[in-house]
Amino acid sequence: MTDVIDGTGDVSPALALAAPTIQGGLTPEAARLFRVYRTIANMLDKRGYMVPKTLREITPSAFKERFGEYPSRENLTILVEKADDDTNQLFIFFPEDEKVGVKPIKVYTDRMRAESVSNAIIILRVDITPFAKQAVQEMSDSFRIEHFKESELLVDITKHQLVPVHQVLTPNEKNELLKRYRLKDSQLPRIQSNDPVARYYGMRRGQVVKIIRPSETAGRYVTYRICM
Amino acid sequence: MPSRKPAHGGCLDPRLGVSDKVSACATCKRKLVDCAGHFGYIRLALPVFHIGFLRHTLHLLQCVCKTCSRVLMPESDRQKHLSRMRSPKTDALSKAALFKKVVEKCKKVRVCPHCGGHNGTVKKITGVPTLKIVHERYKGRNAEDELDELIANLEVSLKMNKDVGTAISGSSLPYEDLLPTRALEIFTHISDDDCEVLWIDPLIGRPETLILQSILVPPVPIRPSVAMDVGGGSNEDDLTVKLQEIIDVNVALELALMKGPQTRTIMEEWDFLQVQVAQYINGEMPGLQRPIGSKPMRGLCQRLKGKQGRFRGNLSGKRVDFSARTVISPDPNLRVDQVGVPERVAKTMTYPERVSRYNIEKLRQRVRNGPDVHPGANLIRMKDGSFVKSLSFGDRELVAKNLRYGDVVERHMEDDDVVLFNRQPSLHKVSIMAHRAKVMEWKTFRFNTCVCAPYNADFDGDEMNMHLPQTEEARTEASLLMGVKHNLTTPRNGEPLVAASQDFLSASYMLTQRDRFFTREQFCQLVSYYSDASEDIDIPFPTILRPVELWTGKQVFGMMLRPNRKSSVLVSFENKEKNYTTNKYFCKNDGWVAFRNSELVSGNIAKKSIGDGSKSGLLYILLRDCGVHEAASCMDRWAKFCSRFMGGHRGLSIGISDVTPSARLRDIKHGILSEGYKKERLITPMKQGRLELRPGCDLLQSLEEILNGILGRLRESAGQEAMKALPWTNTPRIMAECGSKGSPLNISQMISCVGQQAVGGMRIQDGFVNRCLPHFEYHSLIPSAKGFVANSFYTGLTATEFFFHAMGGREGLVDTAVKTAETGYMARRLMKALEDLSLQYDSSVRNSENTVVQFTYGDDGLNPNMMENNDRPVDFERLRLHISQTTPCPTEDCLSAAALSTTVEKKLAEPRFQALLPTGRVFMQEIRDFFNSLAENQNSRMTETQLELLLTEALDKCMLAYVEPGEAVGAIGAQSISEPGTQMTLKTFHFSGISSMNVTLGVPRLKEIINAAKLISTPIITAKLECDNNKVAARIVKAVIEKTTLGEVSKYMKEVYAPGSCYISVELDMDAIEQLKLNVDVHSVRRSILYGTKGIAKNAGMQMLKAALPNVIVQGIPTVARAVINESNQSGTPTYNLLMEGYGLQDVMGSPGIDGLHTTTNHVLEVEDVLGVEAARTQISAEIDNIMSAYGIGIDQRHLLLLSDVMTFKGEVLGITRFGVSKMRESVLMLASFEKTTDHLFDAAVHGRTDTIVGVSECIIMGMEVPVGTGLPALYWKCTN
Repeated sequence: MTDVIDGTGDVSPALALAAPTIQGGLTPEAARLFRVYRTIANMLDKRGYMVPKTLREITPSAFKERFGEYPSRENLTILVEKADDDTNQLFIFFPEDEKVGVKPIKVYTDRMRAESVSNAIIILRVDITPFAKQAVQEMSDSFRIEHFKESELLVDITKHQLVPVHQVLTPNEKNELLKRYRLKDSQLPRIQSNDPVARYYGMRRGQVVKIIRPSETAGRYVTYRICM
Repeated sequence: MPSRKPAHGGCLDPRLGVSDKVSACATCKRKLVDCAGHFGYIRLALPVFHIGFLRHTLHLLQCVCKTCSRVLMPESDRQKHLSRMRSPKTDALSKAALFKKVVEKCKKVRVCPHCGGHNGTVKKITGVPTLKIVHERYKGRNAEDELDELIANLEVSLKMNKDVGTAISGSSLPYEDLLPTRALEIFTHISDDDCEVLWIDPLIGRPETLILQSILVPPVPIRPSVAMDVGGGSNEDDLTVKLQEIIDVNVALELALMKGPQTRTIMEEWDFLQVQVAQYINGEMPGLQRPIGSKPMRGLCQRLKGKQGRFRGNLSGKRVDFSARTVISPDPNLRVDQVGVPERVAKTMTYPERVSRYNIEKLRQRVRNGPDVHPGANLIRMKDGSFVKSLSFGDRELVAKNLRYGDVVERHMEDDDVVLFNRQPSLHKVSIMAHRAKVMEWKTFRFNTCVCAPYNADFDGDEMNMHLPQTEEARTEASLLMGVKHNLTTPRNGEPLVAASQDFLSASYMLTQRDRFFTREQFCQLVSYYSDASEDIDIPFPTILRPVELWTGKQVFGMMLRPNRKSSVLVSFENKEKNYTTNKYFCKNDGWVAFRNSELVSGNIAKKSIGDGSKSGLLYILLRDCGVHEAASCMDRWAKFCSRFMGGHRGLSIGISDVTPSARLRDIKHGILSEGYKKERLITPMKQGRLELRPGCDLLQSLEEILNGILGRLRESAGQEAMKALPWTNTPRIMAECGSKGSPLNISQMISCVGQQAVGGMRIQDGFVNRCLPHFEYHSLIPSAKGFVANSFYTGLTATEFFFHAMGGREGLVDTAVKTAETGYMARRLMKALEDLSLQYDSSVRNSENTVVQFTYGDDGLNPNMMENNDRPVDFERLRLHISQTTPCPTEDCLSAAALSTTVEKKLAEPRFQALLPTGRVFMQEIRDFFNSLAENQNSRMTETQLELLLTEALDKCMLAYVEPGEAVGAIGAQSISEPGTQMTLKTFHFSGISSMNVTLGVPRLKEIINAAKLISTPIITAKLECDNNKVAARIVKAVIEKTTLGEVSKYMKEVYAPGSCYISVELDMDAIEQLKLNVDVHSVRRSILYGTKGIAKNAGMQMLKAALPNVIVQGIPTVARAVINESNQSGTPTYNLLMEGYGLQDVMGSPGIDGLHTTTNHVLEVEDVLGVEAARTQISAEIDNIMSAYGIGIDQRHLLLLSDVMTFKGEVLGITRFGVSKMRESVLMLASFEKTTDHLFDAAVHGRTDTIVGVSECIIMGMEVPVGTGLPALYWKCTN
C-alpha cells in the first residue's frame, strides 16, 4: 500500500498479465484448466503412458480450439495406455464438484469396471471428502485411484528449479543396485509414498527412484530413494 | 539408646549387602569393596500399577475386551496385524506406528467381536491423588442391557445399602473401576497370540508383569546410609526411606486384609500404597501434591535422568585416571607441538613402560630415582602379574637390580611423551590435540601461543586439562591422528588455524617494513635468535654495500624460511595484504607480498601472510607445498624470533598520547559532525510528509532508516580521518594495520567518536514517556537524544552518552550469554544425530544401522580439510607458479596453445585420470578450464615436463584429498556447523536491497532450520515474474497476490440506522484501487464479503459485523501478509522479482503472472510439502549456507550436504530434535542417553526391545570399541561348518 506510485505509463491489468505462454486469451478458469491439462499430459508421458505429441505440447490456442472458451470438465476426460503394455490403461477424470464425494467416485468406478480399466486419476477442483477418501482406500485392491488437487498441478513440479531429475527404476535395476551396495531394502534412503514427486510418478511401496541432481562439488550426483 | 543394627527383613538387612566399610555382607561374607550387594524383594499385599507402565497399561486395557481378554478386532483384521507385527521386515518404528493404529481402532470398538461383551471407553482419572483407571462400561446406547443386569445383580445390596442406590441411579452413570487386581485378571487371560498383536513378546514379558505384585529392593551399596555424628544414627538415601514407608503401608494393608475392617479403610490403605510405590519409581510423579518447599524425592527415574543422571553422568562420560588440570601460560620457546608440563604433574602422571633389552638401563635408573625425584617411577608391576610393588618404600636399588624383561614400570611422564591437551568447551575436534610433553619447573601448563586459536584459549586465568594415554597403541593413534602438526587446519574448511597471532604479527610487520636496515652485527644477532643454535645459517648478500653493508628486515624474514642453501624449502607466491593499494610491488603501503624462492621480494608481512584464516598466505603455502613439519618449524622460528625481537629491539607499547587527537583532527571531526547534523536537520522537517517512503515502510520507519544510515556513516568517516591523521609509528595504528589486534573502528572510537549506539538494531528506544531520558525534549529525534555518542573515549562521555553506551554494551552481553546456552544445546543435538555416520569402504556414508545416507560423501568424496581453493582440491594457478619456479626447464621448448590443449586431453584420457570418474568430473573440467585460459592468455610459459609435473601433482593432491574410510564425517560435520554458532552476533539482517524486509539470521534462524520448525519467524517467498522487466506488470501481479482487506480499500464504513432498515454503508476508495492496480469492483467485493463473513451469525449485531468488515479479504492470498517488488539491476536493464512475507508457496506458484518454476521459499517444510524431499534437501543446505555467508563464516559445502541428507534420508524432513532423532535411530540406549531417558526405557521394557550395540553412544555406554575411525576394520571370518 505504501509503494511510491510513479507515473510510468498505464498498462491495463489484462495486458500486463498476458504472459503469452499461459493465458493466450483464455478466460481465467480456462487458463487454469489448461495449465492442469498440460501438466497432466506431461505427467502421463513421464509415467510411461502413450501420450500424443499434440497433447504434450498443447498451446493455449489449441486448447481453446479443442475444448471451447468455457471448457466443460466432462470433456477433458482422458484415457491412455502404457507404452509397453496396452492392457494397462488409465483414466483421468475431472469431476465438476468442488468437493468430491462418494457418489461421483462410484460413477467413475462403474465406468472403469465397464471398460476394464484398473487405474484412474481424479483431478479435484478443491478437495475430496474424507468419506470419499476412505472409499478410494478401500477399493485400492481392485482399482488404483489417485487424486490430485488442481492447485497441485498448476505448475509441473518436476520442472521446478529445486527439483532434480527423478527416474523410477525397474525391479531388475533395483536388484542390481541393492547387490552393488550390498543393501537391504530398509537400508536405502527413503521417499514417502505421499511425497509430491512420488505421487507425480505414481510410485508404489518398494519402488526405487533414481535421482540425478546437479552438484556443486561433483557436477552431477546420483542417489536413490526407496518408496516407503 | 536404641540398637543401631539393621532389622532382619528390613530394607537395610545386611543380607542385601552393606554400605559401611567395616561390616561384612551377610550373604557372601565379603566387605563393601568386594560385594556389590544382593537384591531383595517386597511382596505387596495387593497389586498396584507401575507408574512408568501406566500409559501402556491403559493402552492395553483399551485394546482388549474387558470380558474375554481378546483383542477388540475382527479375526481377519487381527490376523493381518499379527502377520505384520511378526514379519521380520517391520522395524521398531513401523511397529510403533502399527501399534498406535491398533489402539486407535480398538478404542472405537464397542462390542467385542469375540464374545459380544460390551466395552466402553477406558480412561485415566486425573485429579485424584492416586492412579485410577476406569471403564465406562454402562455408557452408550447398547449398554442398557448391561446396566439392567448390573442393577439386577445388586438387588440385595440395594436393599441393605442406600448408598449403592444413589451410586447407580445418580446423575452420572456408574462405571467399572479397573483396579489393579481387575487389570491383572484381564491381562492374565490375554492369549499369547494376542500379546503379539499388541507388540508384546509373551516369552519376554507377559502383560501381567505390567502390574506390580512385588517390588524389587535394590542392594544396600547403591543406596548407602551416611552415618551422622557418633551415636546420632544415620541419614538414609531417599530410596531407603521410601522403601521403609512402603513396607510400613504394606504391613498395615496386610493386617487390614486379615482383620477385615471396612472396605473403605482397605481402599485408602491401598491407594496410599499405590502412591508410595509410584513415588519410589518416579519421585516427580505428576499430579501428586507435595508440601510446598520440600524437594522432590529422588526416585529411580531421577537417578537415571538428566545431565547428572546415570546415563549422561556415569555411562556416557566417566571420571578418568591419568589426567591433570592447571592454569595455562604462554611460552614462545616451545615448539607448536609441545606442551610444558609442571614437574609435579609429571611425577604423578605415570606411563606403564614394559622392560625390554632396549630400555632396561633407562628404567633401572628410573626405579633408582623413585617417586620423588623427577625422571623416576612410582610402581612396578611384575611380569607374572602377581603383585604390584610401590617404590615409595623398600630398597629401590635392589628392585632396580632385579628388574626383568617383561616387567612393567610405571615411570614418570618424561619429555616427548604423547599427551592429550584439552580446553573446554570442546566445540570441535581440534579442542583436544596430542602434544609432546616437555617437563619444566613451575606450576603451569605452557604452550606456544600459535596454538591458542584451536583451543580458543587466552591466558587470563584459563585452565586446561591433560590426559596421558596408557598404551603404545593409544600413543600412536593420538600422535598420528590428533597431533598438533596433523591438525594445523580446521576441518570446517581447511583454513589454517594454528598460526602466528598478536605479537608475532606486529613483530613481523615491524621487521619487514621498508626502512628496516641492519648492520652485519645486528643482522647476525637477529638471525641467531630463531635457531636455538641448532641450525646452519648462510648469511645472504647484503642489500646495501656502500658506505656500510646493510641487510634489510625482509632478508631476516627470508632467512627464517630458508636458513641455508641446503634447505629445500622453496616457496614462491604473491599475495595482497590488507593495506594493498595499487601498483603491485611498488604499492605505496608495501602491501604486495611477493616471495621468490623463499626470498621476500616485496611487501610488508602481516596477518594475511602468516596469520590464521587465509588460504592465500605464506603459512598455508608452506603447509601444502613443503609439508606440515616445515610449516610447524617455521612457526617455531617466528615465535622465537618475534618475542626476542619485540623484547630486545622494538617494543610495542600504548599510552594516552597515542590516542590524543591533534588539533587538526579535532577540527576535522567537528566539521564532519556538524555536516552530518545539518543533513539530519534537513531531513527532520520531511517527516511532515514530504519524505519519500522506503518500500514497505511507514513514515517514521523510513526516517529512522535514513537517519541510521547518515549517523552510521558519520563515525565511519570520522574514523577514516583519524586513521589518516595518525603517524605510521602510532602503535594502535600498527596493530590495526597488521591485523594483530583491534580494528580501525576501535581506534576511531578511542580517538574521534564512539558513534551511534543501538539496541535491537535500532536507535535507542524511548524509556520514558515519548523520550529516551528526561534530559531531552519530548518527541526529540535529534541524534544525541537517540543514542548518538559524539564524544570519543579520549574526550570522555557525557552522562547520557555513558548511559546509552552501557545500554548498547548490555545487549551484547545478554546476547552472548543467551547464545552460548542455545548453541551448546544445538551442538549436543547435532552430535547425537550425526555421531555414528562414517565413511565406509565403498565410499558411501552410512549410519550404524548400515543405512545409506549418502552414496558418496559430499557428492565427490573429498575431505573438506584438504581443500585448497574454495571447496576445491587444487589451486592450479598457484601450483603452476610453484612448478615454474622449482623446475624452470630453461632448455625445453614452450608448448604452443594448440599443443597444450591436445597434450592435456591426451593425458586426461589416461587411466589414472579416467579412474576418477564419475565423481571427479568437476575436477577434470577444472583442469581443462585452467589450461584453456592458460592457452588463451599466453602470458606464462609451460613446457612438456612442467605440464606432466603439474598434472601429476594435481592428481596427487586430489587423491590425497579423498576421505579415508572410517572417518567420522558426521561428527566432524556436526562440529563444523555448531562451532561457529558463537560467532554469530546480531539477530536480523536486512534482505538484499530491501531494507524493510528483515530476515531472521544467526542462531535463531539456524535453530529454526535444524529443528525443522513449522512456524518460522520470517517466512519469505521469492518469486520470479513471467514478465520481469516491467514495473507496472510487477505491480499488478503483486496486487493479485498480496492480501488486501476491505478496510484498506474503503474510504469509510458507517452504521446507518434508517427507519425500517439498518445497514452498514461502505464506500470503496476507487483511487486507491486504481493506484494499487487491484482487480476489484463492487461485484467482487460483494462476493468477498459474503464469503468472508460466513462465520458471523446472520442475526449478529451491527457492531459485530462492522468490526469484521475491515478484515474481509477482497483480493490476494490470505497467507501472504505483504509483498514487495524487488528491483535488481544486473547487466544494465532493471529486472524485478517479488518478495512475499508469509506462507502459501503452492498458491503463489499457481498465481497468474508468476513463473512457478522459479519460485521458492525459505520455509523448508513448505518446500517439502509442495516440491518433495529432494527439493527440501537442497533448500536446507542453501538456507544454512545463506546464514553462514551472511556472517562471513566459511564452511565447506560438504558438511551442509551431509546435514541436509541426514535430515531427509528417512523420506521426510526430520528436525534434529528428540522427535526427529527417535525416528532416525532405533537404539534404545542411544535415545535414552539423549532425552526422555525413562520414557524410552519403559517403552523398551514393555516391548521387549533388543539393542544391537552398534552406534557410538551405545558402544561408549557398554565400554566397547566404537565402530568408526580406527574401530571400523573388523575381521570377517566365515565359519565353514
